Amino acid sequence: MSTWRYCALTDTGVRRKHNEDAIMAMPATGLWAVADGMGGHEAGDLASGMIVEALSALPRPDNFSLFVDAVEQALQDVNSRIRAHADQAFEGRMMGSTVVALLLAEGYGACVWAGDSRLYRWRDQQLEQLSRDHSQVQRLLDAGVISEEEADSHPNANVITRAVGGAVQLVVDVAMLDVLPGDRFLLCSDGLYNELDRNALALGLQQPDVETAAQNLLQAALQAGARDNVSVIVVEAAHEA
Amino acid sequence: MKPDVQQVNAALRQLAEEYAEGQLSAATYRERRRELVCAVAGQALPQLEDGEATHPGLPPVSVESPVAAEAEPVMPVAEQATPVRSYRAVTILVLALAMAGAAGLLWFVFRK
Repeated sequence: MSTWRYCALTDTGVRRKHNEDAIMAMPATGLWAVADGMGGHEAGDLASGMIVEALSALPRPDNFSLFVDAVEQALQDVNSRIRAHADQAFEGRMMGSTVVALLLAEGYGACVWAGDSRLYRWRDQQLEQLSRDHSQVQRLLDAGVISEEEADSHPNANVITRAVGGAVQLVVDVAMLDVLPGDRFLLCSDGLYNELDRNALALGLQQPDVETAAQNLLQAALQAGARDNVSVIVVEAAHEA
Repeated sequence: MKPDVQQVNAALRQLAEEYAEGQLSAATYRERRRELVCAVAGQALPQLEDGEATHPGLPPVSVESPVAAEAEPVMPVAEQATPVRSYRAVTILVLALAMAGAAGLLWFVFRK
């Protein structure tokens, strides 16, 4: 029987007036998600809210591949609804949201994402990014045009190439992962990692429990200026007794 | 033996790219992805109800697959005369001739 400890926090940040991020935690289902809305107040927060609402209603199939299918289908349904709502209420103006979801089972899991919200794994004092941003900068990075250092300060760092609501057809990416007792996972919006470098993220995740880790990461982002909304979920696979 | 997760993820990424470029139907994409996910999860491939409901002699057709739906062309049934329709047409023709004959007879009797 799998046991997960987790702490999920979201904050408006220092500069923004509204929080367009949305988070969800369903430990009984083995599903956690962060969504970062775009399009301004009453558009971005609606889009991210639609995502967490849809994912929160999902049942957990016995077969893990059907669980992945269900998450994808829920996001594709929300994609259609967001586009229809944007046409009706905002005259076609951009409305959408990034999403990163963590699906866990005994010994393995999956990451499903669209956009630049991220999933990291902390294992053996090493931080590993498990999702790959759907962004212009990531494409340049993959093509070897820029280095990781240049990517952090690139002027197009916030230009994403995929989002829920961004196109008629939504294609989410899926990555599988193995899970060991003691592994910690960090789901976050760009409001966190744009303020904190990898060393700061690693420092935050080293805390003795998930509550302290999540609160330290959020506080560090706020102290760094938090120009955007900040969302943090830390999930830990419990050690075997 | 479980497959290497990094190799599976490379295959998943490639699969998603092919799907995004329209090289794969949604049904094929999901089917192949299920195989990869089940390999890591150590689970058997799920038996889907769509497949079970299909005639055993025919390949499964998913409602998610527009390609599969389009594979069987729809016949223009309006151009095919069925036996029931033929009998109805003959009956209508006979009735029309009878009415025309009756009208002609009445005109002949009462024309003066």
